[in-house]
Amino acid sequence: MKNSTKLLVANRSEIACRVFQSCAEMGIKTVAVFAPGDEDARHVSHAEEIFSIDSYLNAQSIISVAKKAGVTHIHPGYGFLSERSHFVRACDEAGIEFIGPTAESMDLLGGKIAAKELAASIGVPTLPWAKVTKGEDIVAEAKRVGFPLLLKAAAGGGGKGMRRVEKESELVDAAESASAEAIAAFGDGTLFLEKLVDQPRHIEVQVFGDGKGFGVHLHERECSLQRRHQKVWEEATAPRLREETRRGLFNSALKLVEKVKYRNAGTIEFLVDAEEGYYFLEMNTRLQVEHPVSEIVTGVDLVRLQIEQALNPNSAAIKNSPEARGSAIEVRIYAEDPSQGYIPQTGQIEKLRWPMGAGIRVDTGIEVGQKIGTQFDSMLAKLIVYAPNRAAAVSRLHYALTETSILGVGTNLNFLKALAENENVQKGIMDTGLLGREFSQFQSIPNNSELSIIQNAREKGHFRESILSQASSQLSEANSYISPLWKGIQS
Amino acid sequence: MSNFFKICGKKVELNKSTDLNKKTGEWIFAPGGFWVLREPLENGGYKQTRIFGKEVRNQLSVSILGRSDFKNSGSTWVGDIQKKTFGKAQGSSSGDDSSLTAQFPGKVRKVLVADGQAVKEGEKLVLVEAMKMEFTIAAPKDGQVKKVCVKEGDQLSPGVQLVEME
Repeated sequence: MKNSTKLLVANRSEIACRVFQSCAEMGIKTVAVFAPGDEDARHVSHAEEIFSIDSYLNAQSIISVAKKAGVTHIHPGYGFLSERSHFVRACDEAGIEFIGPTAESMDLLGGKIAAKELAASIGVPTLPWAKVTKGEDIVAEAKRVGFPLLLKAAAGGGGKGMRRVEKESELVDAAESASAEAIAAFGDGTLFLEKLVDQPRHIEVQVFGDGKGFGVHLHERECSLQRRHQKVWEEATAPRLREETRRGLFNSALKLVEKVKYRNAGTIEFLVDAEEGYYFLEMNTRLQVEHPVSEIVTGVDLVRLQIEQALNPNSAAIKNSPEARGSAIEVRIYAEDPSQGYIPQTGQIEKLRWPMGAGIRVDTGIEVGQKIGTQFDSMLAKLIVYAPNRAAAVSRLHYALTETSILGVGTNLNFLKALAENENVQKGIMDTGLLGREFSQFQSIPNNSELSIIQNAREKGHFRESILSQASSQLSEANSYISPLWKGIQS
Repeated sequence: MSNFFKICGKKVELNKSTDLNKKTGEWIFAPGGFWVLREPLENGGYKQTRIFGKEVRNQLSVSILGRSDFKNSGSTWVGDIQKKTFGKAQGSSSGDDSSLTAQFPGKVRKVLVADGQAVKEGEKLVLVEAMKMEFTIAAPKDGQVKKVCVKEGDQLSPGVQLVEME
């Protein structure tokens, strides 16, 4: 027990709650911060001390709260400041331990092109690529990279100046228009060619380093099911992957960890093609949203491990790669409408029922009574299931989803259930384009039998507040109790 | 009484042949906060359906739990099933039905239709940008655009009407 340790989580929602759980188990004091709009959020009620800040992105505001509170460690969670090296430096200057990698390794791995060059320099496979300025022989470079390929603006982002080129004859025209678009958008017509992988899989390796050049892997995760380039469904380990490919992924990942003397938890992302060729994409220098599936199949508590490494920086918190057992699947429950382009939904959580039973874990950031706005990411919770094998895990996920109910805000629960019913998903045949191809027309409309039951119940007055509040007065009391307390503290 | 629901902005008709009174089962409020419909079976047992539901701010939020023969088992929808569609004042809700309002703060990126234009169900009416993403507002049914209430670049707050349809 390190009772002098006091940990601030510079984050919100489920990940803050997850870290607070480990702190409570380890006897570590906890500090939460909350930004406007999050006064009633679940994570705020799960810490021993709370402070209001103006934004989760304001490093200065968080550091000054940490100093005031006498915090010894900061856990950044994911997103927000978790991959900003300036925040790590600010923690260092304030004498507060940042739980994660050093600012230097963040800088080394942060830029996509720089990270690619680093990976290539130590023999980690990357997609063939080339940079061409106007006037140079683009055809020769394109032939070297290979068709089909993707033209991207070197200075760009957001899809501007991006073209898919199938064959050589299309190249010159596509390059000209892409270059013109890039000049208009960024003032720089330099193009970047990259080999296009058709229907790729997204597979990533969880690693943990001691900061001195030693690291272990905690197996891989398959995260190919994505909407709007955001993961929806993640699993460990990856189905339908050859042992040889798996070894190659682990070796490549550990080469990078050793090269940059990576410290703490990180994830190395790869694209995997149909022939199981794999290519380094980028490294995420933080804990991932989907870390629970790795925790489950390896039996390693990653958050606890992160804190232990920070408490004892001179010894490796984990010395061997663990075995992986069984199959774990996580789905992200978002407040969104999948039938309208995943449009975010707002509301207030009126009723909540989480699934329980064998092999089910819920990491949640919401409670009954909490308002859901659009200030923050629309992820409400993560539902994680595990079973001895993948087929059992998929059916367990389906069961768990049918036992889940979140009333008061629209969610993607039905969409997730449809995923668990999809034939390809059940077989483990997944790629990053699957949701776009098979679920673009998804509609969540109840059938007549369901409607008539609902209508019947409605006519009998079963959903009226008065009847419910008589039957569950405790729930109503809890509902009306939350807000005033926090409003008083904030002002 | 009109038997239709508004789900995800779409009007869903209850099948005319569905006789609500045929559901002779007994409703029980069960511990855990759900209503259970118990319908007697010929063999002396009961068929059970569990419903989780609540009426909030004139809207109904419902979920049917744990039945694989229901497409929407474990589902949730909110703001879709409007009280007035059940109410006694029938027929007065048609204007509201075809209205299209902003559900979250954002900005009008592009208006794709004009006043008086005939549109088909699903046809794109307005593109809205919010949270760095672009969303399409589509026609909920075949009809005619009565009035476009916004223009490109307009800031939207929740509840602002985008298009009136008839």
